Amino acid sequence: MERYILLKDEATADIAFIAYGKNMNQMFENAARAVYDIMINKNKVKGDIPIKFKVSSDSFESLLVKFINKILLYKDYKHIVIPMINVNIKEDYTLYCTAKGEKLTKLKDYFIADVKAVTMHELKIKKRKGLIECKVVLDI
Amino acid sequence: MDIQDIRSSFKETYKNTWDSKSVGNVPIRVYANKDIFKKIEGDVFKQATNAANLPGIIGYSYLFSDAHIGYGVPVGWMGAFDAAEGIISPGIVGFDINCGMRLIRTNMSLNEVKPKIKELIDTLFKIVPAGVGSKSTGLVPELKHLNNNDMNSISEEGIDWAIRKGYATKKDKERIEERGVLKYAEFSKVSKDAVKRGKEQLGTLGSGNHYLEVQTIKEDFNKDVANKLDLDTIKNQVVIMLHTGSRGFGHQIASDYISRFLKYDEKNKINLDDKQLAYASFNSDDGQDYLKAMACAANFSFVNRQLITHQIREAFKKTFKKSENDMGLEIVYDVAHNTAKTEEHIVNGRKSVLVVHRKGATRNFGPKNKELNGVLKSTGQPVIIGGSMETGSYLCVGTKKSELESFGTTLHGSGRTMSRVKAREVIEGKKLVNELEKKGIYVKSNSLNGLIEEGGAAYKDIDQVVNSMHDAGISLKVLKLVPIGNIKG
Repeated sequence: MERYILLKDEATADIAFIAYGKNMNQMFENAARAVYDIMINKNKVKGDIPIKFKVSSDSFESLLVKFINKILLYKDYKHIVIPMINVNIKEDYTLYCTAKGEKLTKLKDYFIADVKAVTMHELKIKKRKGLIECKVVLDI
Repeated sequence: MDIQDIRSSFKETYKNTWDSKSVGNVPIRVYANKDIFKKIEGDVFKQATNAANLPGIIGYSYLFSDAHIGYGVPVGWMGAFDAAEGIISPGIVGFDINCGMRLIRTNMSLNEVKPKIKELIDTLFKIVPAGVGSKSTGLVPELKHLNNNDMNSISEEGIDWAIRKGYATKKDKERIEERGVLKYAEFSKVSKDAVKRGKEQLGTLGSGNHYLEVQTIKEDFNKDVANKLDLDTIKNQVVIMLHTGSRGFGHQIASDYISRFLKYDEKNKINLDDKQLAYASFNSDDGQDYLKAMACAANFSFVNRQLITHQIREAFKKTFKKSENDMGLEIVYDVAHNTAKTEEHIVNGRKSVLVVHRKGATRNFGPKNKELNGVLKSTGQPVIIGGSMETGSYLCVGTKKSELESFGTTLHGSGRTMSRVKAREVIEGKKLVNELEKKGIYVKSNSLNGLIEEGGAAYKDIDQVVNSMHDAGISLKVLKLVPIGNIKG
């Protein structure tokens, strides 16, 4: 199973991807990894800054948006990107995240693109062929 | 509605002016020549149709010659909504609120600047923070210790804050859309997260398609207007073009309000064709709160471009060892292309207040408009059209026809034809850099990939795009500008 695929014929000015997972937690983790890979061209970064946060919402779609937004807040406010992430989503749409982040200054030679925001455009979580998938359009 | 059906319903009602049948509350109008019109993607019409169905939309769902697929609505789109009956949508304005263009003139010629272009671009690259995670440099000491009160002042006072702190002049203010401040801004409507993101990014360029470019005049189409704007007054005059916006501050405000408006829509049983089009009635509490928060981001963006202008002036002083006055570093104009603003326009012969949403579209007022002052009253409002770093850019001016036909709106750039992901596949980085070098364009970027995504091949032909609007009489060409140096984040 691929973690995500980038879509080359969509989102002309931005970047779109589909994240996959065997379950919801994994799909969220893979979406977070796609966001990291879109910004930073360095695979093997473990990160050494411990991160913990919680986000809540009222649907999986809006939870995914809030989750990616939180990742972007770390990037803009604390100058930390998150290559390694674990999520645990509860039935009440509360997501608990534990992760390891890396200071952006350590990765300045590997920048590709800055993600401004995650859009709601065509955002829909689906079950297909035994996997959970979600198309996400990021504003670049 | 079938997209092919919509496409085939268009009729050219005037040169480069195409009107569809009604696709909801209004028809779609496209400004483009035949070649560009034929190549517009089906999804652009789908998105324009979704917008045409929004409550209170007036006239048309407008597409300009640079239109391409966006999120919610296309980029290169405008919709005007009745202030009494219509809506406001943070998703339409988008995340980079008041992303915009600024053009700065100089008294310097290509002969003077070209020999020092590498030194100038390297100095600019050092002084103007660009790229992911970039932070403001020491040239603006206030930025090191911005607190909530400062953010409040910046958000509500806009360019007047920069004047008070010595980073802008009163003359600068006169050459900025809305004179650099949307007065209905209210800082209490902005979230703490937005403030956190904004504080870190004020005075920075960003990345993606944001850039700072040193250019020279290649062609003059209207010497009278150019001269009135103090341009083309010397041979091969050098100018500076800047493209950036409200950074994380605006991005967070947009995200906050889209999330809030989705709840509003659910509560009011509003079915959305696309959740990105989340909206609220303009006169609702939610609608008014967004307007006030959006104005904060717009003001932040005016200040952001102003602080970068200050950094540009310092870089020029350092490189050429001349004073700002000697170099004539004056703003020609600063104009936004992602906003929702209340404006007075004529609808069916009567003055009406409209909420004009411009997404990748520029205000384009003609001569004598009451919003313009000084020499702009006779030239019309300058419109800055940023092209790719390979193909050049344009300066145009607005027309009375545009005020009557397109609520004083025109295009904003050359418009993409290729996604960023595809550009990475198709465009070769080293070849691109070599070609730029051969053309005499010196580029500094934090990211080769970022450069590739912005290669000229990823964009429409800017000459055709600008000529489309010129020939339709909407915005008129003044100058074609070509780059000699460029900084990208």
